[in-house]
Amino acid sequence: MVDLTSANPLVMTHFELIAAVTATCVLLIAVATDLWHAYRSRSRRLD
Amino acid sequence: MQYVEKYLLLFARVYLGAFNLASGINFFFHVWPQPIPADPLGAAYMDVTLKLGLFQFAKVLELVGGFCLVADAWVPFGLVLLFPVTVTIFIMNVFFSPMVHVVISGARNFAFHCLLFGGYFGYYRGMLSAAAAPRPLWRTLTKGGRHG
Repeated sequence: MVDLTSANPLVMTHFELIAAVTATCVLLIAVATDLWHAYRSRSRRLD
Repeated sequence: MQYVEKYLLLFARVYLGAFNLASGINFFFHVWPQPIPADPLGAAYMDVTLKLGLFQFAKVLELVGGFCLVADAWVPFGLVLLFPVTVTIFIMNVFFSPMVHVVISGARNFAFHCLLFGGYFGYYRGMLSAAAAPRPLWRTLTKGGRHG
């Protein structure tokens, strides 16, 4: 059972932080992967 | 432009999924104290839903739907699962909460959810059939997935 007397509404910010950090990391990985593929295909064309 | 669309949908999907997944995990594993609405009406609503078992059910939906969104698996299904939770939180947070960060959180999650519904609209197009004849599950299965 949840203890409603000791609950903290600021915990919401922890969820926000987890979501923001996860989404930013995944976004950066996706951008880096796309850039890497673009670079590879361009260098293959030049060869 | 296509890249902007791709990255925007990716960010919204992972953000909404991670938020719900974290909220669901926190409820069952008690990482931090469970946040409760700061307004008395919201707190009473949470108390009643906890006693009815609806709150626990909503947390299961958050876990399953959040996992779908983060893992990029069954995303249209995950969005449908999470929508009742998002709408409830949107109403409670935006119209009743006195705390600004909670208002922003509820509104942002609702906006991300609507954006994702738009981004995955092709999967829901069939649901908008005005004159929908029955397509029973049992007949679909026996015909190898073909409708007729």
